[in-house]
Amino acid sequence: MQLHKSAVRPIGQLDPASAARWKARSAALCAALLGAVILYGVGFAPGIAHGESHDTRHTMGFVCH
Amino acid sequence: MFARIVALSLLAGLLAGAVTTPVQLALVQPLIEQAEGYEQQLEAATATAHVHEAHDAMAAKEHAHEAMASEEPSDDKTHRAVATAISITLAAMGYALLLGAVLSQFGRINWRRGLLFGALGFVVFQLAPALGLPPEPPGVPAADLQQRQLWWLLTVACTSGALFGLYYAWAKRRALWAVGALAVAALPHLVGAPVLAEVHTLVPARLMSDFMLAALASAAVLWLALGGVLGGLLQRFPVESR
Repeated sequence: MQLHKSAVRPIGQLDPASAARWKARSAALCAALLGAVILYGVGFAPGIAHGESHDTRHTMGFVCH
Repeated sequence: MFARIVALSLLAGLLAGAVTTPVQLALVQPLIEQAEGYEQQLEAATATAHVHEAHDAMAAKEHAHEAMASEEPSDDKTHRAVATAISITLAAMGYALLLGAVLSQFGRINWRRGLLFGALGFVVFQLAPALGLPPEPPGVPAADLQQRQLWWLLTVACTSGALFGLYYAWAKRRALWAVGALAVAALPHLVGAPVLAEVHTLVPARLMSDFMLAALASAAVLWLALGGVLGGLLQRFPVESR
């Protein structure tokens, strides 16, 4: 009897389909986090940077004041 | 895959920023400057009322201006326009990464689908929050900052959650999910946004409503440009696996 390949995979290792899905999800999550950091910077960067983004913050309705 | 999502999103953000900047400068900028005139009048009046010992409105005005100088936009028009172009492009890039993260999870993406998701992004991040906290020009006081931030986050979370719920309801043909999703979308508006009982401002109501429409229009241009461009880019350079 020949075992299917995925059946002999060590415990803790994902099958290729799950691994690809996990990779896609984590890549998307990291991209989204980076986006959130940039948006936070535009909205809440202190000092001069806050003055420079003044008109953008008003237009985009950022709740920062 | 991460690198490709980031690269395409930043490129889409750059292009959307380039499209939105002229709209922003033509449509919104003049209204902001008008409102700032009223804001300064109110500041000067308030400062005069408070500084009894100085009896000098100009000194008081200068003092108020100095205190806020670092957080105010530049007096130089060109400088200010460039700063707005850069910051609105950065905001577009930030939203592009959120949009890219979502789009990369769906199969076949083209510019039309991108446009649809861009419109949904506009609904989630601009339109739904604007129902309770409309974009306001300078010189208009608002309710407690933390409460407004909390309500904004609640609204964005509920609206985006509701859209996922509606998608699920449609995909799995479950009507009850759609009802639940709509209830979730309505929740923040039933709770109600934090607002001031009385607003003391010199900014006319007409200017406030004009600004709100102009700001939403500018943001709509940003989101639609972002969605269309990012959808097209993802169609041309698909992220390899799902």
